[in-house]
Order: sequence, then C-alpha cells, then structure tokens
Amino acid sequence: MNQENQWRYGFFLGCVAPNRYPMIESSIRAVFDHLGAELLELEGAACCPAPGVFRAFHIPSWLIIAARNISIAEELGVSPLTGCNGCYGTLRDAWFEMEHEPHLKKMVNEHLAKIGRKYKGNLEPKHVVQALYLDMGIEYLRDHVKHKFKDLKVAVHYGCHILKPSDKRPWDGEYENPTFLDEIVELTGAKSINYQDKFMCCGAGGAVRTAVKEVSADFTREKLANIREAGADIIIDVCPFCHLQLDLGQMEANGVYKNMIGEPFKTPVIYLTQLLGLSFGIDPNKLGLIKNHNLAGVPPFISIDPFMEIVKEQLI
Amino acid sequence: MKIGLFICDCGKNISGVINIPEIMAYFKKDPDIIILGNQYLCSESGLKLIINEIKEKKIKRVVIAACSFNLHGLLFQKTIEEAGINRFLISFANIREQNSWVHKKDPKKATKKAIDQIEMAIEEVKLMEPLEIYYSEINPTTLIIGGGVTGIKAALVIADAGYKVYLLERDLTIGGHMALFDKTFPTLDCSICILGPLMMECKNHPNIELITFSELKKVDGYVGNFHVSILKKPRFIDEEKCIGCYDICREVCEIDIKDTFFPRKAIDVPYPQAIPLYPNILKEFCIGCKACAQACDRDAIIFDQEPQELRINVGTIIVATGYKTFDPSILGELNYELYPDVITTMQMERLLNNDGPTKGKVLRPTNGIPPKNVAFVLCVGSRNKKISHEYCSQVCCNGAIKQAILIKNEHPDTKIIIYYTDIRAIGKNCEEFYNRGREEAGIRFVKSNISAILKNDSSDELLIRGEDVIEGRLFENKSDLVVLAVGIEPPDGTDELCQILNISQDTYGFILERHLKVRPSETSVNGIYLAGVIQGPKDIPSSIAQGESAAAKAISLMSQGKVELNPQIAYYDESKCDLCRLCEKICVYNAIKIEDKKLHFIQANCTGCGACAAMCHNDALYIPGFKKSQIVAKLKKLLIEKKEYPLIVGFLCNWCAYMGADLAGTSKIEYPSNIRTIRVMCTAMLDPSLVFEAFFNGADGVLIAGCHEQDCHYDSGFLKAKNRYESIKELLGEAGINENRVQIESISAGEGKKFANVINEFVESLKKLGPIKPGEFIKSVRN
Amino acid sequence: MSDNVEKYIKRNVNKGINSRIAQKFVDAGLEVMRSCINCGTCTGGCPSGRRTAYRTRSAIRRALTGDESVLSDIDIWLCSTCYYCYERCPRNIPVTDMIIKLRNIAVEEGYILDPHFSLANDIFYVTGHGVPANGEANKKWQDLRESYGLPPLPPTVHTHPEAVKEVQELLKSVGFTELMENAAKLKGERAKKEEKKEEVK
Repeated sequence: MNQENQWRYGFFLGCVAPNRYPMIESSIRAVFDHLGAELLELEGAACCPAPGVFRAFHIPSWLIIAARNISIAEELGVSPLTGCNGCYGTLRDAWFEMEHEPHLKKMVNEHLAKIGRKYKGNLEPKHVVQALYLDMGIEYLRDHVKHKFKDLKVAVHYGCHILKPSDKRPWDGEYENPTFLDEIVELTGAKSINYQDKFMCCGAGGAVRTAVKEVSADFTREKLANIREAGADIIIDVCPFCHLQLDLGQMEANGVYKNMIGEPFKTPVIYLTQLLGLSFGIDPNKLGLIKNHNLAGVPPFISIDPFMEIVKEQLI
Repeated sequence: MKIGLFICDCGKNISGVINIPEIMAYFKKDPDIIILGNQYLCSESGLKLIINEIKEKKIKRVVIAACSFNLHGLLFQKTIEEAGINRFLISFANIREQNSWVHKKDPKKATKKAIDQIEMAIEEVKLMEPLEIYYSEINPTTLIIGGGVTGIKAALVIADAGYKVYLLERDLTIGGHMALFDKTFPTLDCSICILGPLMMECKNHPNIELITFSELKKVDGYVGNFHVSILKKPRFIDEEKCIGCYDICREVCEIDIKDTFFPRKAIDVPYPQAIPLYPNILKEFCIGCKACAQACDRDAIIFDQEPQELRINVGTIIVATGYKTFDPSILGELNYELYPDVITTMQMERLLNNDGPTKGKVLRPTNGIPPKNVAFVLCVGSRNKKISHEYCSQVCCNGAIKQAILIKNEHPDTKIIIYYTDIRAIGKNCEEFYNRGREEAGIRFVKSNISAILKNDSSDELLIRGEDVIEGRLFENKSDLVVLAVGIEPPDGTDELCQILNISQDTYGFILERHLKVRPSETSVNGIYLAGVIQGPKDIPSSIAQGESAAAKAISLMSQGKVELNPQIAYYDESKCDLCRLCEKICVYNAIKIEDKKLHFIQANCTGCGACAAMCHNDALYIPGFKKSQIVAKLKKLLIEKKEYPLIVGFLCNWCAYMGADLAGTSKIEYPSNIRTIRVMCTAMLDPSLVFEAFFNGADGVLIAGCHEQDCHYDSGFLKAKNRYESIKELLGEAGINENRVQIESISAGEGKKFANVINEFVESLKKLGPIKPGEFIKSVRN
Repeated sequence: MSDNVEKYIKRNVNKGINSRIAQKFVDAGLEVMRSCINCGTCTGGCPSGRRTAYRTRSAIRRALTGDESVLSDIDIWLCSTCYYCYERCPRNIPVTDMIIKLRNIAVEEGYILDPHFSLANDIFYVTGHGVPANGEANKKWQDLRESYGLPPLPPTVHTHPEAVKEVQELLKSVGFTELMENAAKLKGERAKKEEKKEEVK
C-alpha cells in the first residue's frame, strides 16, 4: 500500500473555518496535499454540532447529528478529519460513547433510518494534529522541512478538546503537560516558549461566548497577558474557534478591559498548518497568509504583518 | 441415621432476613432430621446446646446453618468432637455471608435459597466419612520478612521467648522508613533515638540472625515446615573482615553521587546508624579505581563478589514488608517533577533530619534558602478513585502536622498553610496534637484539595490554586516550598512475594488478613502471619502492636511443638485403578508415582488440590468431602425442584472465589439470589462431568470461579480448570446446550465487588438465553 | 423601619427540596455525583470560576439537594467545558458531563438564554450550520472565501439543500423542535408571572 492510499481522510470542515476563517481551510488543504495525503469532501455535512452548545441543549440531538456527519465519511470508507477542537470533541466523543454504549448506537440508527442513513462506527474521527503526529509521524514531517526560523518565539495554544476528556483521546491519557504540538512547531525552527497557564482555555467554548461575550473576553485577556509577559512573537493554535477567540476576542478584550491591560494586545494568531506550510516551502498565498481583497470587518482582526516581517527576514 | 440441623439467628443478622420458622417447618417433615434453632450458635450456651442435643438425641452427623465455614468452622468441628462425633462428619450451609447479608432486599428468595443451601449440606453430610487427624512436627524457627520497626519488634518478642529468628531485609540496613524520620508524632520524640537501640538489640540478640540486602526467592513446604531460598545481593564487601569503620574507604572515593535528598559516595553507608554497618559499592557509579581497596587495611573489599543463595528451614513466617510512598508525578497538575520546590513529605523528612543532606535545616532545593511560605498538600494519592486509591492513608494528616510544627519550632516566622480535605487526626493524643498545631504553632488550615500547582513566570514562587470550600472562594496563594503529603502503597514486589507465599491480597495490593477484626494478623495460609503497613496503612504504634500480635501467634503455634494437618487430601481405591497414569502427569507435587504396576501415594506431598481426582475416569482417586458422588447428590437434590430462575450453580475455590463471595457478604454488597455455591478446594478438582450433571439436572448456568492465574494456591490449578473449561464449552455445543451457560472467572479474596458484578451480569445474560432446554443450541458446522 | 426590613430580614432558611427536580436529576444519571466529598478540586481549577460567580462544586451540591436555583441561575452556562474538573476530580465524577446534563434539564424546564435559543432555532435549524455563510447578508464571507482561492460556499449543507432537510427531519424525529417549543412556552409563562409580580409591587 503506498502512502497516498494510506492517508485518505474525509475533510470535515465544521462552521468557523469555512465560513469565517477560510485561510485556515486553505492552509490545511495545501499542507495535506503537500504531504501526499488525500482529503475527500464530505458533501452535505452540517455543523458538528458544537459540543458546548447543542450538546448542552439536548444530548440525543447532538449525538444524532454527529452520527449523520460521521456516516458521510463512512460512506467514503475514510475517517472523518477535522482541524477544529470543537468538531473533534463532538465527533470523537459521539463516536466513543456509541462504541461503549450499544443502546445509543441503536437509538441513533433508528432515527437515521428515517433519512436513509446508517451509522456504523468503524472509523475513528481524527484531528489534523493527530493525523500529522500519529499517522504520519514527526520524522516524516521533518523530512519535508525546507526553511527554518532562526528566532521565532511561539506561544502554543493547544485548546481544550484536543486533549480532554483524556480517556476519549489518543494521547495516552496525557492532558496536563503534553508536548506533541510543541514538537511539531519546533520542527520549523521556532521556539515554543513556556508561559503561565499554557493549557488554559481560550474562553470561547461551552456556549460561553454566545451567552456572555465579556466573560469569554476575560479568559482571553488573562491568556494574552501571560503570553505577552513571556515575550511571544506569535500564537499558534489548532482550532478555528480558539483562533476566532484569540483574534477577534483579542480585539474585544482590548476594548472591554482597556483599563486593565495597559498597552493593547497585538500578538498575531497563526494556525498550525500556516506555519508548517511556510517551513515546507509552500506559497504563502496558498496558506492564506496574503490578503487579496478589500473587504472590511473580516479577519484577521489582529494584524499578522509583524509575523510576515519575521518570515521575510528569516525564511527568505 | 440421625442428622442434627442447627440453625443460627446470629442475633438478627440472619433471622432479620431469612424466615427461620419457615425453614424449621420445612425440614420437620423428615423424621431423621433433628432441628434446633438458637440465637447465637457460636456462643458458649449455643455450643453447649449442640453438645447436649447430640448426646441426648443420639445424633450421628451435623449440619450447621450459620456464618461462613471460614469464620467458625473449626469451632463447630471441635464442638462435635467434644460430643463424641468425628469432626469431619459435619457440613455447613453459609446462610449469612452468602445469603442474608447479600439478599436483604428479597427475604422470600433468601429463605428459599437457605432451604436449598441446607438441603445440599444434608446431602453432603450423609456421604461424609470419619477421618484421622495426623500431626507434623514444627520447626521452632521464624522467618520475618521486612526489617522495619514492625519486623524488628516482632523479632525481639519471638527471640526473647527463646525461638530462633531470621530477620530478612532487602535493603542495606534494617530500620525501614522509621529510621529515616526525624521525629515522630504526636510526641515529637526523636525517631532514631527510640529505634536505634532496638536495631542494635536485634543485631546482638543471640536468637536473631540478620540477613540484609537479600531477597526472598522461593518458599516450599507447609505450616511448621517451610523451606526457604534467599538471594543475598553483593555489597562488594567481605562482611567477615569489615569492621564498619567506613570513613577510610569513603574518604578516598572520588565519586560524589549528587542527589538533593540522598547524596553519597560510590562506596558509602546508607546512614551512620545503619545496622549492620557495612558500606557497599554502587556499581553503576563506581569507576573501578580501587582506591578504596587500597585504603582498606583489612582487605575487606571484594570487587567481584557474586550474589549468593541461602537456604533456611523455618516453621513460621511473618510478613512485615511495610510500604512505599505514592509517586506524585502521576498527578500531572501538581507538577512534582517539573518544579524542584515541590517535594514530598518523605523528602521533607530528609531535610528535617540531622543526618540528612542539609543537616536538619529546611532549605528550598532551588536556591538553598529557608522558605518563608510553606504549603502542605494533603491527600496526595489518597481517597482518589481515579487512580484506584480509594483508601485513606491514615498517617499523612498527622505526619504533615508534625512537620509543620517542627518547621515552626525552628523558624517561628515561617508562614505555613496545610490544605486538607478532612483532617483525620487518628490515634491516641493526635487530636490534641492537631489542636496544638493550630493554637500554639499558628499553622493555618484551609479546607481545600489543591487543583493545581503552577509557577509564576516573573518570580521564583509557586502558585497554589484551589477553592476554600468553607468560604466557597477561589484562591491563588503564593508559596516557596510545597510539600505533598503522599499516601501509602504496597511496596514494589508485593505481588511476587504473595505468589511465592501463596497468600491473598486485597484490591489495592495490600496483604489480606484472615478476618479484619478477629484474625487481623493471620494470612490465608496457616503458619504465615502479617503485621504492619503491609496489611493496610497505619501509624507506628499500631504497626508495633500488630508486629507483637503476629509474634504472639507464631509463638503460640511453635510452643505446641506439633501441628494438626488437614487430612482432606487425596485417597485412592486400588481396585479401581487401571494405571492410566493421567493422575501422575497432572500432579505438580510429586505425590503420585506409578511404579511396578502399582499406584504409590506420597501423603506428605499431597496438598489436596484434587486435580488428580478430576482426571480419574474410574473415580479411583477422591478427596473426602469433595467426592464426585457427594457433589452429584447435592446437585440432584438442589435441582429436583428449581426454586428460582435462572438458577446458577457456582463452583468456588476455597482460597479466592469463596472468600471473595464471603467478602461481598461482609461488605453487604447486594446481588441476585440466583446462585447456589459449592465450595471446592481448587477449581482444578472440578470434574467436567459435574458441569454436565448440573445442566442435565436443569441448572440454567454454571459458574466456575477460582483465583487469578498467578495467585493459584496450587500453582497451576486455575490454569488446569481453564483448559478444561475450553473443552467443556466445546462439548456443551455438541450436546446442544448454549456454551454461554458456563462461565469461568478469576475472583480474588479481595474482590467482593467483582463477585457481585459477575453474578449480576451472569444472571442478566442467562435471562436473555431463557430457561435451559435440551437441544436449545445447534452448533454451527463448518464445511 | 421599612428600610431595615429590606436590609436585614432575609428569611432564606432552606425548607426542604423540590422532589420533582431532584428526581429528574436522579433519572438523568446525576446520582454519580453522590461520591462527591466536597474537596473543591473542581472549583479550584476552574478558569470560569476565577472571574465569575460560577462555582462548580456548589452547582453539584445544589443539584444533589434538588435545588432548582442551579437550573435558573446563569452560572452553569458559564462553564467553558475545558474539562479540568472532569480530569482532576479525585472521586472520578465526570463533572463537565454532569454540568452538560444539568443544562439539558435546564432547557427542558425552560431555562435557556435568548442568544442560545436563537442560535438553535433561527440559525442552526434553518441553515444546518452554527455559523453560516450563505445568503445575501453573508455575502462578504463568500467573497472572503473566494479571495483565498476557495469556492464561495463550502461543500457542506450550504451547497446541499436536501442535506438541510435531512438535518431538520432528524431534529424533529428526535424531539429537538418540540423541546425548543416547550422551552419557549415555559420561558414565556415565567416571564409573564414575573411581570405580574412587578405590577403587584
């Protein structure tokens, strides 16, 4: 079996990446293509649905819509792959729960039968980082590195649902001090710096952002203050919703908590595959790092120009 | 033949659930059965009643319906002997541990089950035969495994009584954990000052032989006559020549092994008060310069010293192997390994100890400066379901309070907070000690289990995060030294030790006592006793008390000179034997030899596991009390009229599964009443034909439950049963019976909960299969 | 004097529990919370508790005693589901999942915030996305996609109207729409009662 066949996934887009941060979607597509992995489209996929919101309203609904999404990948015979921690949380927890509680699977299939679908549960939902780190492996990624940063301090933000609940995740139960993401980031020559409360939540999840934006922004404020204190040049994340919160939420925190933070925050937020793609020598246009429009009120809200300056200085 | 049926109310323990008048009415129908009920059969008046009744009514055999055979079996056996009946003409119906205590919710079913249990006991006793007890000499010598304070005190008691003691210690010195403590709670007396003289006394006692830096390898034999192999590890020192001056060799050694808490040279002693005081060489650090050998004027250093095997014979064994402390790196949120200023209570003892690396000064590992704010975190690794440490470690509260007071005594300005979930100042004078800590020393107590320890990037302080649960307020307190009060675990190697000794462990791996209250210092094997923390967490006073209790048990056995041996071993009928040799092959004890066309039986070697009897197709071999005919009679009586559906027949091994079922009883864990158990010595004694007998007579399911494979009392008994189980399943299929009706399980004596779960699940799965009917299952035939 | 009545007289002595709600908690499997020993590990590590009145342990404690306030207070909606409490609980209580179940019961009882209700009903049910990009109002997001070399709409429900129908059919079938209608009804009734109370005052 050649590697191209081995690495086939059903690309589950979710909501935030395709509909608000398309640069993330582009960069995942570009990097996976570069690495010889095939991403199949999941035609007609819906919202995952979001674990903190819809699951919080009605667990059975959440489970059924998630099962429908997974079943689309099952029809193609591939694992669903997502670049979003929220979608990962939903797809993986739903998959895990149905695997361990057959009555849930039965209930789900009774409903799915009404729309002519069936959930089998034989394919494990995966995160982009899981595919990179566990399927392909750090050595395979290293082989593709063309350019290395000389001096780039990165604050890595894992987010919550990629790690937890740890009994339903593939990281051997590690959730307090994992290193897989730092290892990938450091392949690019960047330095993953330590900062206080590194594994703290961005504040967006669990329906909090929808409920009270100020509470989310206060999470973000604390997180950004720690990141700034540690002297990070950029933030690297692996979830479009965290990305939105750290980017748009950064601006909101600058507004709401103006009096608390002194200088406004201005740390660029970059998605992992954008950074990795640069190091692989992929055209920054394909990685969504170059703006080709005149639209107002669209991301990135925090300018990434300082980062692009570093790229120019160090990579070219 | 008149059979006496004695039924016990056990206060209300039995009669509160089981309808005893109904049972008495039921058995009155049979004129040969003489029934007597009593509130407490095991009381003096109860026992007297049994004796009188036997004599008066000319009773020939006895059935006791009461608690588990394991609790008072011997007492009743001796009682009927007093009344003139051979003590093996008795049977037991376990209607407490395996009935009233676990079926409280359904008294009707419990009563029916009790009737079944008694019926089975009556059938069994009818076929019992009198046996002669035989005796074996006791070697008046004790092996004590573990040279901590418990083992030391036990050794001194036995040695003072005039018996020889081998005190085995796997570390370099005796003294254990206590020798590493600075002071002890609640008296604050110097630990080594009270232990040191006892260690010395052990060394000098004419009846005690120390075997240090040595490990137990093998134990054979039985009560009174154990054969022990020990491996003595090399110290690379000639113990005959070395006089323990140790400064000469140590001075010339250039290798400093850097360790915050245990710094030493490549050749060194563990601490100055070590007993025996020989240095040793750590080969992984030694560079082989031989400077020490040149410096030693007694030529005591042997670089190529080999491990040495020792063999000793003893009559009794005491296990006092102590504990190890919990490794907090498992709990990632505490960042124990990441931040050097997060230490354990055991490491704090080293800092407090005058002989420790800081000469008794409490200094921060990162910068060597005395801390201003010290935090103690309690319950680290205790009361934690997540990591299967549900128990309370008992000593950490007092231990932390002690350390806090000691720091306060030296540096009254130090701010100390103890974070606790519940303060358990257990032990004499300990509550007062706790109050002293608050009132006099000014230690602050905050009710909170710490959520995380992190580091403030801008300073070198640690941040402690938690909720003050009394205030309902979150805090983020600064501290420059955090002490984790780590819990207690069984020491490494306990599983292996228990396999060597064939003794049982509890769910957490501590060694299981025979009875938590009334036989706390005995293990599941006669002649092997236990004491100290290896039985479960406890403080020094309790450990010593138990050490002395175990010593008394050993002495009382040895003082008798001889010991009764169980005559329930294999017997054979020569006329039935066709010399097929299957028994010879299966016996791992060399008890059976076929020579000169004759079966030779070596009684002393037989352990009574019954594996041979189960193999014998002519029924030439049998174990009294567990004869095939007896079990068949029990099954037939039980199944002639099924009182419950689904009905499970359970064959439980005496050492593990039956004890596990009893534990479910003492722990009052409810499970369905559908099981009728038959005690067997080992699952290996189960003849497959008995499983078929059960099904053909109408049982809906058969449970075979024994030890965990590695814990089997008869070496490979459970393995044998497991192999037979495979062929039983195969044959069932051919007989048209669903193979899922028979199940095999490993349930240890400590797994009461598991026993209940197994019954729950088996009953559910049998309900799905429906009542047994012939031809219910057609095995799929592969083309 | 009447000022002092407002100021000092509180009369908040708990007089028993709402057994209907308590039973609901048990039926939802929330009784695993009984192994809580009130150690505070959950609250202490909670990033939300550091800035809001949400107290994880208190939510669990109130649920255990059948205290309905746990459903009506906004607190449980301030959990960001970071799962630290779930991971660290020494009693092995899946705390975060318990909070999610409490939210389910809250919605059932009509305690749902307006933005959540509208997200569920007006956005997710209608489009199949929680954050949609279709329609004229969202034109700029389609343009943004195109500027990064992607088609204006993703190959999700947005380009498959029949898929939206499927989602809606499933939501009806599993009782989601009914749940939302009922929640709206209960919420409306409660609002009216409050209004009346105000009027009486």
